[in-house]
Amino acid sequence: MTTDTSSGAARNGLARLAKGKGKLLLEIVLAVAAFFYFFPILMMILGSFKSSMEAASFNKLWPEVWEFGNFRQVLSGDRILQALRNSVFISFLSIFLTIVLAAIASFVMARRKSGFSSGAYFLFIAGLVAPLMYIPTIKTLQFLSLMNTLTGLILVVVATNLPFAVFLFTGFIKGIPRELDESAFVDGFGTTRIFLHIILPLLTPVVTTQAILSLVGVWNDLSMPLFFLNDSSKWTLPMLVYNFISQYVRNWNLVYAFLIIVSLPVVVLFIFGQKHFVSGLMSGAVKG
Amino acid sequence: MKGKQLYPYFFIYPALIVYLVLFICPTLFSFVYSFTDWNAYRDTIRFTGLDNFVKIVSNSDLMLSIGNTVLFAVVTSIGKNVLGMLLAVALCSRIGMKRLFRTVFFLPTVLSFIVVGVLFTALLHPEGFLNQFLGHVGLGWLQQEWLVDRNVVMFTVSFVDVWKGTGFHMIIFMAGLLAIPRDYGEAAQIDGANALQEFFRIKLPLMMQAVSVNIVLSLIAGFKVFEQVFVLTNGGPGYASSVLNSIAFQMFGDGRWGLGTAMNLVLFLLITAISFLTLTYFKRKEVDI
Repeated sequence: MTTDTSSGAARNGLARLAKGKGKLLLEIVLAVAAFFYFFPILMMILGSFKSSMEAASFNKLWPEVWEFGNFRQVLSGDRILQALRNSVFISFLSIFLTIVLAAIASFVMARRKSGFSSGAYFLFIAGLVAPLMYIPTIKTLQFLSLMNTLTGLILVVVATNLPFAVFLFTGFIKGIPRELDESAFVDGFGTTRIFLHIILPLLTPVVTTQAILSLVGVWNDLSMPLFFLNDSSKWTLPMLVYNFISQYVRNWNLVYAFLIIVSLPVVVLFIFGQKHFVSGLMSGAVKG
Repeated sequence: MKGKQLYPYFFIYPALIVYLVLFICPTLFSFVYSFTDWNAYRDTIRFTGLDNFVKIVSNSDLMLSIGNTVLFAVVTSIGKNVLGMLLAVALCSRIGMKRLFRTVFFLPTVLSFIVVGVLFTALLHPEGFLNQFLGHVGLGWLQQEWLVDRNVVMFTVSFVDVWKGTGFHMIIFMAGLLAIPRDYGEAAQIDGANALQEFFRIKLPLMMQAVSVNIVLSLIAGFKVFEQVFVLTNGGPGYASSVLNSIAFQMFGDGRWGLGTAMNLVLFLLITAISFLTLTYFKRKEVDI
């Protein structure tokens, strides 16, 4: 590459040395930043093993006496199992419905080039941007007698999750060659069988992405239950935390334990499904 | 025609019906209700023209909440994207423990706002860890009543949201960086470009798509702010940290539905205008690799 090999080699060696030092420096800076970034979560984890007395004073991070009973005490609360059931029910049903409705609709919208088909697609895509109008939605739910019901909440969650799912699925199905459907049609397959046996198996990666992303969103959501459910027996875990704090404001150890219980399912999912999560975010966001 | 037989419209109907009834209809209704005195205390609804909007403009608290919403959207978008970009560049270089770092910086993204809210209420307490830390390292003059001081509170809420959201934008920037073919950078280095020149002249223009997605997504999410404020301050002290959605929630509770819907409509118009403007701006800047 260079004509003067000796000075070229010296320069390369220096550059490598500088790079090596720069790398170490960068690693140290990142490690310090990561520690501060992780600090709130560390405080929660350690705080959940403190006694009430110790947790009340904010000045020590490490528990002096490890108290393992906090989790049991939180879990024995009278309403937590009910809230857990509600959270699981709402999350699973709304994700299942979103995926089924979006998949079949996207299949037809990706394939047909009619005005109705593209009009419907445009309407869905507009929902990626538009904010939910809370008060008119409440009135609509009241009109349908679905206000303050889990069904009503699930349907609103589905409606607000559909735009992204339709966007993701339609883009993906457009990449599946049409000839596959047509040859199956020639072989006597009907639409339902084509969808179930040919399209659906190919959709697995986007279905996984959608399921993980909406599970995180729905499980953690606070605003929809807050607006659309006022009966505390229907509350989800995040809503119950909110209520719990006003009751146990002096027992930070119990509050932290509760926060860990609320976060655990999604964090575990994230740690084990990190690959899907990250690749899903990347494909969904960058293609858009 | 084969299209009709093979791809029947009734496959679209279930999704379309749920979406029309529970998303599009309420949005359309909001255009009507925003111009009425609709409230909890009277059975009849009267058209009042622009009354609600005149009320919003002439009420300093409501105008403050609009200003706060814009401030929050801008501050958090800058914070998340600048930090996210720095972290993405660092994590795409040849360093060790990349996976661990990525996990730590992304982890807050999967936490609920209620969790984030409680943790930072404790951390930012006047005697909490942050103020203690500042005292220990000799920065005592920086100590604040983070969630109580009217001049600081909106920046505190923005800071917490940046902490939670940066990891998401970092991942998208990483995707943009990794999509650039390696030889582009090598060619620039041979031509004598330093790291900064390489970043601004080569990498940044080639990852404009990731930049535009990130900016649009962070602005939209920023305008929709509600839970962040609700869990940290509930709009207080007074109206110092209230935003459009928290006012809409409060108006709903007070039974002032027409005015609350009008506030929601202002948000709708802001978001539509901003995303249209940013999308058309970035459309011109994108480069195909």
